[in-house]
Amino acid sequence: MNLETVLHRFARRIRLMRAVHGLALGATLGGVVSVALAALDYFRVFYTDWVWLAVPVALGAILGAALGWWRKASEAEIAESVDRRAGLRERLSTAREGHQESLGSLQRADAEAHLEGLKPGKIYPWKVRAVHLGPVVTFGAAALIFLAASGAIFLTPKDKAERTELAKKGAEIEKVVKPILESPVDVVGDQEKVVASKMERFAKDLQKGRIPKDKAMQTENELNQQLQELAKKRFEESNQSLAGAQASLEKMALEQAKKSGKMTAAQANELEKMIEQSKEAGQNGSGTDDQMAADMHRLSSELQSGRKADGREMTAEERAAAEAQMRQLQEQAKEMRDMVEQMKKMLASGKDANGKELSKSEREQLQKRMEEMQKLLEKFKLSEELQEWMQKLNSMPEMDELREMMQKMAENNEAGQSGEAPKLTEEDIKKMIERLEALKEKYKDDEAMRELIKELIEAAKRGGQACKNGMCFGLGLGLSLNMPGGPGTDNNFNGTGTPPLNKDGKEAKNAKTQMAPTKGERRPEGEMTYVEVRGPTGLGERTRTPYTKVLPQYKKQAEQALEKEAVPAQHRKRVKDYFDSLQGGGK
Amino acid sequence: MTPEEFRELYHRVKAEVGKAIVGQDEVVEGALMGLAANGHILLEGMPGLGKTLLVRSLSQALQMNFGRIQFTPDLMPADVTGTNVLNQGAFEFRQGPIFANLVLADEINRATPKTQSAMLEAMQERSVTVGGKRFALDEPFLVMATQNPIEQEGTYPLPEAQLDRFMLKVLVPFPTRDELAKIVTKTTGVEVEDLQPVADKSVVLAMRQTVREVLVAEPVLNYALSLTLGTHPDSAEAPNFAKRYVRYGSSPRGAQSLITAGKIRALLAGRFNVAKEDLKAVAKPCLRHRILLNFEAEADGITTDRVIDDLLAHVERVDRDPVAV
Repeated sequence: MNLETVLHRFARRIRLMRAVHGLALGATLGGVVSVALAALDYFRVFYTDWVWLAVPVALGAILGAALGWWRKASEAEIAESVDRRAGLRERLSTAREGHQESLGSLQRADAEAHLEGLKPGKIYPWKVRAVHLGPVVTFGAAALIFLAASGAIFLTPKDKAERTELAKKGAEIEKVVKPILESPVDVVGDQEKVVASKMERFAKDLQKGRIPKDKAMQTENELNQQLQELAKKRFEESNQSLAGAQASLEKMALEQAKKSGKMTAAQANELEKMIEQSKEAGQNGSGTDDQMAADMHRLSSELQSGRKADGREMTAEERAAAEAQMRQLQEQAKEMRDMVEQMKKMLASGKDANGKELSKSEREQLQKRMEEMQKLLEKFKLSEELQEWMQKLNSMPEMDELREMMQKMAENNEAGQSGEAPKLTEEDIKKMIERLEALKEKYKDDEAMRELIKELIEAAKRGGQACKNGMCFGLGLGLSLNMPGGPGTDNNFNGTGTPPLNKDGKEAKNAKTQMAPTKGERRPEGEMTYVEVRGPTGLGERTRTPYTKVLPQYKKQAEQALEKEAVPAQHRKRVKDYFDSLQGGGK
Repeated sequence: MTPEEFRELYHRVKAEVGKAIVGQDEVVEGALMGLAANGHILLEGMPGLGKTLLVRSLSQALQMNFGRIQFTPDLMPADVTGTNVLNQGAFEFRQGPIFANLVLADEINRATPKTQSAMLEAMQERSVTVGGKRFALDEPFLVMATQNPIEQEGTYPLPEAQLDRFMLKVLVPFPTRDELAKIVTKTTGVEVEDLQPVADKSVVLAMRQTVREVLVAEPVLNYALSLTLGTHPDSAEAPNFAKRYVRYGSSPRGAQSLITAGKIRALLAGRFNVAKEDLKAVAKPCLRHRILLNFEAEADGITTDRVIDDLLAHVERVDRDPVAV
């Protein structure tokens, strides 16, 4: 048999065996990676799935096989190996070297004779080695860890059903969170991203059945709180930007007045000062005589724009209060005008109202007081003029549009802050921002207008972030887990059917969740502990079913439990009182 | 000479010598190997084990001259090489016993270093210089030196450089009970074996040429080098055992001996190439006298054969199948 042919046959066999060996080795290494992934999954560092456990094994196997096939053995190596395995006593190695000495041909013939009948499969037989078991062992270990992590090995049918329910919720949450995480930070906000990633982990935990029901509820509640706080913050920021926009509008009006020449520079400065004072008054509250004009201006602005100084939409009560205060101030102004007229007469006649001659000092004091009042009245007048100029701003081509946008944003913020569904969709906000950007470009030379638009863009962005990441998925996508029969079936989580209240009797939305373990006897199980969870209401997660409808059923169940003595004696009265109080509320 | 003829001749000679020598296969093989490889042999064994008989038998079977020198402390170099004597007014060189094809240097370690040196120089140079004149020794020329391993008093152990000149060091074992019985019967009876010549000098020279033609593959050569380098305690290839117990390792002559002896073994096995197993088989006779042990080895009773055993095991471990599948 030809030496080269034989070597070629052996080479092919060796490549094939190396490919199989590489496959096993690669799959084993892949299996090790799978074990690592499963371990990370176990410790909740990185979540994985069956597919991702299998992928490293498959990839490792393919890569290992390819490398094994690609790694050729040299002829010398093959010859030496065959010599060794077939006991040829280096005949093949020597013949392969092609010695030209007189014994060279004899030696080659001798080697070829010894190669007769030598089959590659016989020299390199298939054998199951430890490395071939590697993939099975490693992947098996990974699978065990993975199953152990989810506890799926020891689940009862009831547990499985519960897991399925939680997993479904988790999938829903993940579906909502995913786009948030994929969106750029400047669109969704950095803090929103942090909460979203927490929610994603929570969703994964739910899907994998890593957390029990009660813990899931608690976590959900905490996350809801974070979302609400964040949303609140964003709406506040949006409102502040709207207030800034309002101030920009006033400045624009002031500029218009200045340009018209109907207002002197001194008057304009005075008015500007008043605008600033009015802002402070809005924030700090009025109270000093010097701030009377500023208060009047503020009230006038608020009534005209329908918004408080902080940009928040005025409530009906606030509007009524502002109108009342405004009327009072106007009356004071009228009185002041009468008084000024009277003072003028007194100074002209040199006598007081009773006809008594005024002394020099009295005249001076009266003169001073009259001038102060005149100044104040002048300010009132200026403020009124500014309001008129602001009315005139409406004649500007895009002003109506901008005012409409401000209105919509304010309504959106108001709705969000009051726990209702936002009025603006993400698409609406997106379009609004695009339009504002276009206007900003158009008025790039108009500083006041640019400032106004900038504030509006900021307000829109913040409002959008609150909607997108806080309220929207926290409200409408079923983050809350309804646990039949558990505490807080109505999602109030306080076991009383009513949300925790603050001092004003309003719902304490930011109240912390409280847990209180209670021990008691239960037959036939004996002593047991249950945990009472008192938590705040998830905003917008209120049930739509009136509790009076479900109360009779629950009450009946409670009475049955009391009859069976399933409720510890020391808590029976408490249960009875609880349902009685609810009954009262229902009435 | 073809390899088949070599093998046949070798076995014929061995059979012929075997008529006179009972047992001692390794010794006979060593002697024949030395002849075929053109290397000298150092025999180490107790007196009376048939060493002289072996050399004489060989010379008879191969029709070669035989010379025997009994080394004693008073033996002079001239007693070995020969000397110029005055004969009818002129100096004439009278050849010493070294002028023979087969020389038995009995108890070589009993002579003084000076005489040993003269002997070993002749072995290496294959010529003798007396009175400024060089006298070539006849080919084939083979020295078989003997040493007594137990009587060390009054001896002059051969220095390492001298030992290195011997191709093989063969241990002559005491015969077994059966062999001893045969020896006694054979040597005390009436019948005396008459050895027949089976070859002559020219055949031996042809054998040497055939040996040289045997092929050595690279892995085999590397194996021989690994064995040789493994005896050096400073070498990275040396096993820990050698590093601990060896003072000096084999010279390059050790590797030469391994390959040459391996070639003869290959021919005798009917192969045209040397195998690693040939080297393993000749490792001890080729290397045992080339390894110098340190004091610790002597204290621990370690022999060079033990070092070689460990070295062989080590090289076997290192020499793996290059195709791991």
